Amino acid sequence: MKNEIFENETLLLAALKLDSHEAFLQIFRKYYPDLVLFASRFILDSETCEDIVQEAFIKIWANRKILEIRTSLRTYLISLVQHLALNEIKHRKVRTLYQDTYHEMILALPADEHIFYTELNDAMQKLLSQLEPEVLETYSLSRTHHLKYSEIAQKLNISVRTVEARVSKAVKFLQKNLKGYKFIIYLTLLFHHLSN
Amino acid sequence: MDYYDNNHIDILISRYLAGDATSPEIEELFNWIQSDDDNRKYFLRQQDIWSVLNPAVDISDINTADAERKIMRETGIIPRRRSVFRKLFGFWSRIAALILLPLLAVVAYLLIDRPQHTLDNVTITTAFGSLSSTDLPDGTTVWLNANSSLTYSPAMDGDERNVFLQGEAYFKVKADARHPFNVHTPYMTVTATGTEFNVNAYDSIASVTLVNGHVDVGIKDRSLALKPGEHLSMTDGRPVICKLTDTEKYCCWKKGMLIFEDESLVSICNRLRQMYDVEFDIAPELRNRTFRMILNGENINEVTRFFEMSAPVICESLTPKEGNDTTNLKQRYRIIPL
Repeated sequence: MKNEIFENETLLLAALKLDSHEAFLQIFRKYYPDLVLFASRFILDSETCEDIVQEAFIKIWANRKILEIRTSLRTYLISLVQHLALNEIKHRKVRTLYQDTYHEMILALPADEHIFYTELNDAMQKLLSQLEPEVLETYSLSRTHHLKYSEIAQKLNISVRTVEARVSKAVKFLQKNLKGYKFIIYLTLLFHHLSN
Repeated sequence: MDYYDNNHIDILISRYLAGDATSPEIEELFNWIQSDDDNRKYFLRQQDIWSVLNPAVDISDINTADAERKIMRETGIIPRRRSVFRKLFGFWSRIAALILLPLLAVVAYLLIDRPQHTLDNVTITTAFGSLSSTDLPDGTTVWLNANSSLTYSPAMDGDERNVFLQGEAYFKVKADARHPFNVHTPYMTVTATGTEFNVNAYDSIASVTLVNGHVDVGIKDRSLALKPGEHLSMTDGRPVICKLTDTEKYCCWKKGMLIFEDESLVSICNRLRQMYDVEFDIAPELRNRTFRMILNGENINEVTRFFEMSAPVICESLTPKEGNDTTNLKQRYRIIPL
């Protein structure tokens, strides 16, 4: 699986060097939304985030002939957007999410370790689709629609204990299968949220 | 490191990320982070996941197709519009002429019979530290706050009444249900038929306060309805609506007053920055200190003296820096602890 992706990417980058519009578009469509979300970690204004990511792609097209990607395309794009976002913060003094120290900390995580929203979301959706329909429904009502246990129980005409059991089943299942994503915090938060 | 043995730290991290941690908890967490490089990495990973699952921007708000069109034009992959037009023109010119000629004749006929409305738009502008009020041609009364401008067409006889606002204004709209009154700002459009409301559109911290009646606020492609006493503000790029017990706080500027009730120094200075031509450098430890004050037309020097009188702070005026940067010649104040 990993090999296949790598091969695709090599081809993709080779095609890009040969001025392939399709290759450029494929990269753009695949990464644009995730990169905008990534930029929004540093910059609050969503329009500026989109501008930054568009600037990154314009740079990539302009430099396609001399582009040399030593890591992966994904890591390269993240680093480029991070760099442009930092520049923007420095030069234009845009409103940022965090104070400086916090900033340095978040930036200290190497670009190849960042996770993209769609990647995590896809992985979660895949796992969720393996759950029994009633467990999935209960879980979505609690997590996506933010209903309280009592509200879900009323809505589905089941007991609060059944709701608890189902949500806990879904959560345990995700926790077990999403280990690679160090998922624990999200789940801790989920419990925290529900107990309120 | 076994992640499942770190229950206590996980709870600390989650409380911190959710913004619920107390200061001793934050201190404990930061000590833990700094004590070990692995701890630091663990924290960063969790923070990464947290920000992925709680994105500041809604993924459905990102319009990849629009961005794609823009990118394709900017990179020159898609030729600019003009050359496309030229190509099409050669092809379709005869057909176009056949359709256009009679159309032009009709348009010409219609135009000749009518007085032409070529009146220029009117713009009212207020300077820093001043305010004005004016009646629009339709009978609507507008109060314009400092450093603001309002543009409108003097005829105002279309299906809709449109004005363009930069800065802040209070509108008392003349009731006319058939001709909606639209206030266009860089961040949102407010639509009313006959109501009183305040629109603040100085910068991205834009807001709308409805005093009475009903308005619809359009942000991008969404429309939100406000009830009397409700206040809509943009927080982190998203609209947040809250119910106010008293709208006066947001509207009293039109009487030359500013009311701050236990507001942080940062938000007070933001407000002052909008209305006076000044910038503030605030010491980090003072940013969230709250103040309660009512200003009644004082000048900026008097305002800064109020700060000094009501808290142990020094408010010093910095002389504008000389140099190439001509945009930065504003009066600057530095607020530091005494």
